[in-house]
Amino acid sequence: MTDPLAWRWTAGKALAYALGLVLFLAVAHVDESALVAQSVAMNFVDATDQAGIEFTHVNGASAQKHIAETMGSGALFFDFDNDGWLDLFLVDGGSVTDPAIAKRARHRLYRNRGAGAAGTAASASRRFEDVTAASGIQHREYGMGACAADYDNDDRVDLFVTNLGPDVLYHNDGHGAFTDVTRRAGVGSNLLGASCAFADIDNDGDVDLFVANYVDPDPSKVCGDARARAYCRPDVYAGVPSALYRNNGDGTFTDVTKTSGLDRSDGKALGVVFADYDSDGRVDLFVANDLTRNFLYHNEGNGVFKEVGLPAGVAVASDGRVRAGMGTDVGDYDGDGKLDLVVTNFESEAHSVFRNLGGGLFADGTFESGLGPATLPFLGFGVAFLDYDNDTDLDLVIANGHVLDNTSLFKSTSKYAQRNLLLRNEGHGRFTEVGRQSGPGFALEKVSRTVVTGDIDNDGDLDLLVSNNGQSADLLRNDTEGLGNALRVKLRGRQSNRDGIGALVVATVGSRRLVREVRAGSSYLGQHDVRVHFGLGRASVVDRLDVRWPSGRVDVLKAIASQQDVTVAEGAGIVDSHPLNRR
Amino acid sequence: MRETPGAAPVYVPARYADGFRLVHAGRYDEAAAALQQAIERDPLAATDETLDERVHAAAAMREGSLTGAIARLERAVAQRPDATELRRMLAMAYAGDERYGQSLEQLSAAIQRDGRDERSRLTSVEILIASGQTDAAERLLVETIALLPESGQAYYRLARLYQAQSRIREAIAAFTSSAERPVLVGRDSLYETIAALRVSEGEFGDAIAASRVELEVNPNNAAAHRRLGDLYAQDGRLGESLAEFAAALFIDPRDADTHASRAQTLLRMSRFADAVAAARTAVTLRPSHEAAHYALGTALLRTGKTDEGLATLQKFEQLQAAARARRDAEWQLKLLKEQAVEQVARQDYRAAADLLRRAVAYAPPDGSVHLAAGALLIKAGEYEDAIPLLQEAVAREALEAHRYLAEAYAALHRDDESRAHQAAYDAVKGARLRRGVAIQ
Repeated sequence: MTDPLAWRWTAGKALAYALGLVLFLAVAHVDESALVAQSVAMNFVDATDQAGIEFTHVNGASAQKHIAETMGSGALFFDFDNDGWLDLFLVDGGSVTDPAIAKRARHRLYRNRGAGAAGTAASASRRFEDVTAASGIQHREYGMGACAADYDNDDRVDLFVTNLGPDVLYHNDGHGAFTDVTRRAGVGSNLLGASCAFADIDNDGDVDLFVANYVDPDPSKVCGDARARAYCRPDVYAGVPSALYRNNGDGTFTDVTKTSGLDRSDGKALGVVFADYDSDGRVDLFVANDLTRNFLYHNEGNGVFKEVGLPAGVAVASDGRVRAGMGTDVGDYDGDGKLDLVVTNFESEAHSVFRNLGGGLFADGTFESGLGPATLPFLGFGVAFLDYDNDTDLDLVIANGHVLDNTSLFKSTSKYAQRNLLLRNEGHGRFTEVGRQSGPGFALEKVSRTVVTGDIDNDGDLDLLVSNNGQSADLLRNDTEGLGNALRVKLRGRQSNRDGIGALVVATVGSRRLVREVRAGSSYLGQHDVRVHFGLGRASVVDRLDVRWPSGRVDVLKAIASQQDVTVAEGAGIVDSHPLNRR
Repeated sequence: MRETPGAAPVYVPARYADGFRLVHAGRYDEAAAALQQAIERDPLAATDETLDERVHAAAAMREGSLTGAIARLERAVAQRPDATELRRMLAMAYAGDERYGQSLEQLSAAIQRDGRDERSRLTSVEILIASGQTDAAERLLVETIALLPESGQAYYRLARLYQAQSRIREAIAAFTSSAERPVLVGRDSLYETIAALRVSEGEFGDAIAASRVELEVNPNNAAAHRRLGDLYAQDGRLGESLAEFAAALFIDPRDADTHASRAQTLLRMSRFADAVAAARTAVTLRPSHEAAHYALGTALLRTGKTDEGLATLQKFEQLQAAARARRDAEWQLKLLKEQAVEQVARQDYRAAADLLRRAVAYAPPDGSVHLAAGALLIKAGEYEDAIPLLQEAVAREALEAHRYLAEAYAALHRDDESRAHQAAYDAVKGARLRRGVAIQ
């Protein structure tokens, strides 16, 4: 005879199971609207002082209006001491004309004290400590940009700095010490370097290096008019070739600019991003050029790149005109699984977004996406695709600031200091500008250059670091309450390069596939955290995580709980995990 | 009384504005009375004893006899110091002779005698601007508008001044105010300007509204329909964009720009075959059309016609390179000119002239650079070097060079040649005066 209690238990279990299934389906397998956390009021606060960051960029602005003075400077997030807390590096400029001012310039390396800073009265109080002096990082040339990657796979991320003058590669020796290895490595180009990026172009297990070089900054050029002297447009200067260095795997690099097909002077490169836009397993290269057409270099797989920007539809805007390309980033903003491009441009040009159609073709989606009207009055530099509200789709942040310190003389409505933009993805590849409603951090009006993203307090949302020309840098902490869930993924390459740079990481959540690529270098003169961040909305589980490594290996992981920071090793799955510290 | 569109705006003078408003309202008897009253107070319409002097002076100016006109007007002003129109004419004659100070004195006297003399005020503004006194010109315009709020011309001139100074928002406001005053002709071009300024500010909605008013004034303006189509496209309103292009092509089916714009919109709508057809038409109509080639190449690639698409994009690249070379030359020219201006400010005319000599390589065919270089060499006392440049300027129809050639030859004691060039210059000046073009 059946025990009625047993029946009741079974029925209750079945009911609970059914309810659970319904809930599970509601969370994980129904339409995307169920995933998305309710729209919340964003709150980015200026945490610079509180976090202990004291950095004011020295631009050396002079009456001679040297072009370099208005370009910089860069910044990046990286975890140089492998403690799981994001550190940061700020590039300083200098002076072209005054040695005394040049001496005041000093790059800054800030270590995130992490858990040591947490738990204090103000949990983020003095989170960062200036460890520049002990690091051995020195300021020798007028600095521009930076990127970082573990080029020798020794498990410590190294640092590259571009300059007006020889670029510098710093090897991370561990224990907070860096050594200048430029000469041995052979990467000290003397051209005016701008952005840089690391990626494994030949999938041989180590990262190679691309340096975007801008122009020959001939100081004899004089611009302006009867009203005033002004910084010259790029048309005035001759372009110079950028540089591609292949990693020899022994601490040295070979300059393969010529043999790879990148040796061309008809570009004026400022921004760069590596991305495998056609998913053929080989990382390609996009270069944003200033007032010349952008380059898209398709990786042909034999050490050769083929420039295909024009037929691909990313070289010029839809009207056939070149734009003043500055910064760039890659991300799947329309959720179709293909990597799209964003490029910041000059005031009155609108920043561009190029939608990846597949088959190696892009469509200019600037106006359809809403980016056009929102960005038209701004002169953009740094840019990032990011999911700042953890609602699963990629939003945009853009750092703005004019290049002319006297721009209002030439156009009354033009401003040198400009506000930065935060563009919320409405879910259908349409953006709405919400900066004014996103907290005091977006009320700042400065001469911004780079913006990079990373989670400085490991609370699962993305914070921002903004560099400003001739002004203090800004750390904008995302203090928004009630955001959706998140998952952060750090990769550990074994056959592939150590940080899995270039790996494609796809999170499947319900019916949605969230596509990210691991990158070391993008935006403008900067680099976001290389760890992959997925906003998950209300979903508490990632159903499936696919990692396609640069080696070609594909790892598939299933049912990964949200609110974690996981480390995935090539061929070994999750080897480490930590909870994200939600506020 | 209908507006004639398509021309630069001409405004009803402030004193006639009420009369014109009454005409527009159909109150003809009141309008006639108001206009009659305005005529009676208009110094230009006065039929007193100054009329003869004015007619003769105007005739002298038309014949190119500036000196004669000035002498006659000076006598007349001495006899009738309260005749403001005489003073205004004398001021214009002085300005024609580049005697700006005396010109402004006469205008100031005219305004003192009749503060509501709109013509003297606006002429004064022009002389102030011609003599580089833009701040004073702005002050006078603002004062004129306060005194004569119906002066559409004052608003318009102020708008143009703001526009020249890149004070875009103020320019938009002033243009809009001018459009609200009675305009005899050219209201459409006013709204075209307002729309263009709105676009430069990223205000597509307002630009579209202005462009629509422009088309209400002149619905048969194909270029205006195309511009409105482009605005709709930039605002993401692709269907409305195509409708405007259709209207433009109905009026002017051979406009390559409209076909090219239409091709771009069709591309954005993924109507690739239609885009190919539209772009092909544009390229046929204007084989040098860069944007049409880009649209055609892109559309061909989208339809799988890879070889033809790539060949078209290659052609686009060639056109773009040629255009870039032209722009670079223009830019180099501009730079060298600006550097020359700096040297002039330092009174180093030799250095300035050397810069302009370099600029000759980038110079347009109009001879203006040769003229400027020659003039600077004369200031530097390098008469021999100046002559070939000035002769080249004359050959390129920069006829003001005669004046400097006369000066150079005189300095070299080659008096016959100097006299010949002075005569040539006087002839040019006279011809221009007859056409009403001031020599500056």
